[in-house]
Amino acid sequence: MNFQEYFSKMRGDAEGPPRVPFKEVLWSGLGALLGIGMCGWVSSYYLEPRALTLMIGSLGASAVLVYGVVASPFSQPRNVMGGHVISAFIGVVCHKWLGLDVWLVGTIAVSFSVMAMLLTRTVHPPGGATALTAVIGGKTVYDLGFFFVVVPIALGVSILLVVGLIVNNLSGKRRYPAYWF
Amino acid sequence: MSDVCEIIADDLRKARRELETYIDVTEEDLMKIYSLALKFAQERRSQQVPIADVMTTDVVSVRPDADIHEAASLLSEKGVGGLPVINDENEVVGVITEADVLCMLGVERTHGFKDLIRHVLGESCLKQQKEGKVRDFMTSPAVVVRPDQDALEAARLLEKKRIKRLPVVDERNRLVGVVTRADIVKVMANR
Repeated sequence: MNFQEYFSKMRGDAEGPPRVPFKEVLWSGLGALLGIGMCGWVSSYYLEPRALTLMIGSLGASAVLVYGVVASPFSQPRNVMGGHVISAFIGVVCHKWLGLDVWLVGTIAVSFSVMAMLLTRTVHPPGGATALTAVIGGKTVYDLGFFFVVVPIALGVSILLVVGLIVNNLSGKRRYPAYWF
Repeated sequence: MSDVCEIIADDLRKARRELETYIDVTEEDLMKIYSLALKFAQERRSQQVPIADVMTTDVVSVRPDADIHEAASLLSEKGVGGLPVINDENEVVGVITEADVLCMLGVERTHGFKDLIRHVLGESCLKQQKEGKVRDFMTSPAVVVRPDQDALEAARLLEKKRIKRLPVVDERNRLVGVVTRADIVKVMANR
């Protein structure tokens, strides 16, 4: 491959995907509202009094996929649960056992989580955010240790998936999940 | 593949709009997937051998009202293990095999589960009698195939049903040939 071929790859001359119908937009919005809303409610009434929370950034990213890109492999239960749990575990392990600067530990955690998700066929992009959160989340996250994998991750993901099952299938055009495992 | 036409990017765009949901695949990838799938389908089709090309068309058959002894003689004379049974319209109504004739003579078939049950129940052969018509002993309905099906499909069916030959019928169930294990093996050997 010469220079010209290399740079020609960056042209990006294909056409972007079409905008989805407004009805689809509303179903996606409703799903995200109920999914994240349910996480927030559980978090605020049951977990925050116990110094726990479900309101973490990576679950918001998952909501985009589970409710907005329903048919994608990234959005299927295997990927959502597997990607988050594996990445959370890797993040906690890196934080506990790599005695390096936080930015370097975070970098390594994300890199390993990407590889682990690819190897285990559980690619879910928000998993990278989960791994990073385990490293840069501060004292609240560090105090949880490996329990971080259970709460907020596994519990939050479970809530998103249950809401996804209920809401996504209410639309005549949607079917969720495409596969479980 | 003559009956599959090429698609263009505009067709893919229309298809995506038709789906009315967000699909996270680029147009380029979608086209690559389609082109590769089309290539594999063409390869698969080029390797197919229609049953019509391997079947025997000179088929000996019997009528359901023929005497069972006549069927036994035919099986013996022609050196075949089974015969399609056809009615006046040339439609396949069943198959009569050597095993059916042996059953008539009271020889037990002990290779099947049903036969084992019969043996346990002390019933050697349900059809045991010395006289009768072909329709009394034949297996009906017959397992049949169509001439345009792939020979490999016939091979799978022969294996699954544990039989040695299949009548080949047209769209109106009329007999057009017979395909045997040997016919299929011959095709595979010449490939």
